[in-house]
Amino acid sequence: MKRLLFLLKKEFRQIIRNPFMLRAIIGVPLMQMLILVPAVTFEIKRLDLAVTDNDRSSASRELISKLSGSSFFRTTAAPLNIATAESLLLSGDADMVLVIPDDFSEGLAGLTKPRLQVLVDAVNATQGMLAWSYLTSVVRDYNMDLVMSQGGAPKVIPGISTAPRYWYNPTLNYKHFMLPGILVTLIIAIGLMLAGLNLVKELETGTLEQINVTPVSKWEVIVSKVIPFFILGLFDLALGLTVGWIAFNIPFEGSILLFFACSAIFLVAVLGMALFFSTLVSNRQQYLFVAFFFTIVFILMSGIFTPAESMPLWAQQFNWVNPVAYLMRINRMVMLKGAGFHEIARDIGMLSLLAMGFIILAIRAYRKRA
Amino acid sequence: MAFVRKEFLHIFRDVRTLIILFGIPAAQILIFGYAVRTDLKNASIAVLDNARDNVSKELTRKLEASDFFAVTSLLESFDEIDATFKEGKIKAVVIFPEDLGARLTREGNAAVSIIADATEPNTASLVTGYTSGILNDYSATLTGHITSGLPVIAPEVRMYFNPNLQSHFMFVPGIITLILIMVSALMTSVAIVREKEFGTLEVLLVSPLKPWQIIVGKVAPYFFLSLFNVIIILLMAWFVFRLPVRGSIALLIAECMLYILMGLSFGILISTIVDKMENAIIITFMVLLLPGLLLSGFIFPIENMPKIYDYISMILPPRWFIEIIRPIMIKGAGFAYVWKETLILAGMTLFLMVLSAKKFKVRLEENAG
Repeated sequence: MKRLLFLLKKEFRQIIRNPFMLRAIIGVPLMQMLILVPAVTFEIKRLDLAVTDNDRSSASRELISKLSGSSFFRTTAAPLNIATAESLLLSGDADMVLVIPDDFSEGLAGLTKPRLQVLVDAVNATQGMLAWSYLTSVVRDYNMDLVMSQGGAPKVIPGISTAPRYWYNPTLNYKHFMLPGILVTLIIAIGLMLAGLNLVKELETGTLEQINVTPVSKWEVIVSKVIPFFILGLFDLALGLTVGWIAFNIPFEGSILLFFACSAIFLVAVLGMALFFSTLVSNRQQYLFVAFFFTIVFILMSGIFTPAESMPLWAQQFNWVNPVAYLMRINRMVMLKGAGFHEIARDIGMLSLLAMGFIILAIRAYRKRA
Repeated sequence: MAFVRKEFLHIFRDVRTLIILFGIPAAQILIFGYAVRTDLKNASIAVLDNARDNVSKELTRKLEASDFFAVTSLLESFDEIDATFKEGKIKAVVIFPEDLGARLTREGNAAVSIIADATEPNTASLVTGYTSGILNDYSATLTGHITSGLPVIAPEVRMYFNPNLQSHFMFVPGIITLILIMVSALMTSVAIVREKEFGTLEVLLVSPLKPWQIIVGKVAPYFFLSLFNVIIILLMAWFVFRLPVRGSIALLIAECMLYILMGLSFGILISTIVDKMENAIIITFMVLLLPGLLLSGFIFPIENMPKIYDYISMILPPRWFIEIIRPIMIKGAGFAYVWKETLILAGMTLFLMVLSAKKFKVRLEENAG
C-alpha cells in the first residue's frame, strides 16, 4: 500500500510537470464546453429563399410578402428563368427557389388550377424537409385567408388545432441537450486517450519491463498508472460542469452525487478498455488509431446527436455493449429530467456490468502478456 | 527514392496500422450511412385519450399507421406522463380532450395537445411537427368537401440533388474530410515525432540525405495512402449507397490532393514544434479533429451557428474543403463554382508549407550551433 502511494505520487508529479498534459487537462474541457456546446445545433435560423415572380400580380406580391414576413425566410428576388434559379442552388446562394408561374393569378380567379413550383436544395436532407414544411405552412395560411376572403366557405370550418408543449426544455434550447453529451465525450477523451497513451508509452519504450524486475509488483504499477486519470477525469467533469453552469446556466434537476457516481462507473469502464487496448498494440501510433476509432464509433452510435431509437436494430443491439450510450442517457435523464436512482437503475446496472467486463478482459490480457 | 521505398515498407509491414488505416473509413461510412440518421422513424409515442370517441380512435389509428410513429402505450391519466417520460422510452404524449368529437362537429374546432419530451429538442420539434401534420391532413379531409369549389393552391416541390432525402448525402464528403486529416496530419506528425523521440531523426540528418529528402521520404507514403483512402471511400459510397460523384472525378481528386498536401504540411509543422508524441496528438486532435468534425459543417450547418463560429471556422481548412467537395460530389458543380474556396485552401497550404520549412531549418541550425 505504501509502495502504491509512492508510485501514485510519482505519476502525479510526472503529469503535472508535463506542461502539455496540464494544458490539455485544463484546456480540453474549457474548449469543449465553450466552443462546441453553442456551436452544435440543428436549429435552422434563416433560409435563403429566392423568388422568381413571373406573375407580378397583387396576389403573387401578397404571397411573397407573407413569406418574407415569416421569420424563417430571407427572400431575394431571383432572375426570371429556371436555369439561373438552378445555378443559385448550385452555388449555394439560395437554399430554395420559389417559382410563381405567370398564370398564378388567373388560377386564383378560378380559370386554371393555381400552381407554385418549389426547388429545394436537399443535400442536407433534414434542412430540406424543414424548409419545405415551413413553406407549405405559409402557403396553407395564404390559402385559408383566400378561402375566408372569398366568403364562399361556411362559417364553421372543422379544424383541429394543435398545442405543442415541450417539457424539461420548454424553449427547445439545444445547449441543454448537447451539454450532458459533451460531458461524456470529455471523460472518454481523458480516460481512453490520455490514460492509454501513458500506458502504451511504458510498454513501447520498454520501461515497464524494467519496472517488472524491481520489487514493485506489476499490478501496483498498472494501478498507479490508471488511478491518476480516474481522478483527473472526475476533476475535468467537475470543471466542465462548472463552466457549463456559469456560461450557459444549464439546469441541473437531479442529484449531483448520483451524476458523479455514474460517471465514476463509466470512467472505470473506459480505463478498463484503455488497459485492454494497450495490450493489443505495439506502439502509440497504433493505440491512437484504435482508441480514436472506438471513441468515434461509441460516441456517434450513442445517440449524442441523433436519437438512438431511430437507428436500425443492429445499431441498437450494438449499444448494449456501448458504455457511452448508457452514460449519455443517464446524464440527460439526471440533469434535465431529474430522474432518480430507480428510474436509471437498469442503465447503471448494465454500465457496472460493462465496467466489470472490461476490467476482467484487461486483467486476462495482461496475464497473458507476462 | 530508396528512402521513400523504405518508408513504404515500414508502413506496409505494420499490418495492424494498415488494417486500422482502412478499417476506420469503412466503418465510418457504414455508421454514418446506416446508423446516424437525422430523420424520424418509428418514434414511440403515447396517447392519452380522454374522448374515447370515433374521432379520437380514428386519429390514433392514423398516428399508428404513419411510418414516423409507433403508439406504444395508452395512458389513463395526466399524472402518468412524468413517470412515462422518466422511463425514457416515450418521445411524446398526444392528449385528446374529452369533448373532441362533439366540439369538432358543433363548433368546428377542437384542440389537441401534444406534450413532447424536449430533452432532445430536434426530435421533439420533429415529433410535434409530424403529429400536427397528420392531424392537419385529417382536418383537410373534413374541410375538403366544403371548400371543393374554391381554388386552393397546391405547391409542387422538387428536391434538388437529393430527391430521396437521404442523410448520407451530407455525410460522405465530411467523412472524406475527416479521414484525410487523420491520415495525413496526424499520422505524419506522429511518424516524424517518433523518430525525434527515439533520436533516430538525428541519425538520419547526419546521413548524406538532404533534410528535404528525409521529410519527403517520410510524408510521401502518407500522401499515397490518403489518396488510396479517398478512392476506397468513393467506391464504398457508390457500391453501398449508390452515391455517385456527379461532378468531374479528376477535379475531385485534384482538390483532394491539395487538401492532403495541406494536411501533410500541417503535420510537419506540428512535428517541428513538439518533441513528444502525446503532444503532437493532442495538438492535432484539438486543432484539427474536433473542430474539424463539429465546426466545419460536416454534421451541423455553419449558417445555423452563432455568427462568431462562422468567423472561427474560416481559419479551418476542413470547412473550405467541405465547401469544395460537397458541391462537386453531390451537386455536380464545376470548377467555376469552387475556385474561390480552392484559392483559399491553396493559400493556406502554401502558408503552412513555408512556415514548416522555415521552422525545420531553424531547428537544424539550432542543432548545429
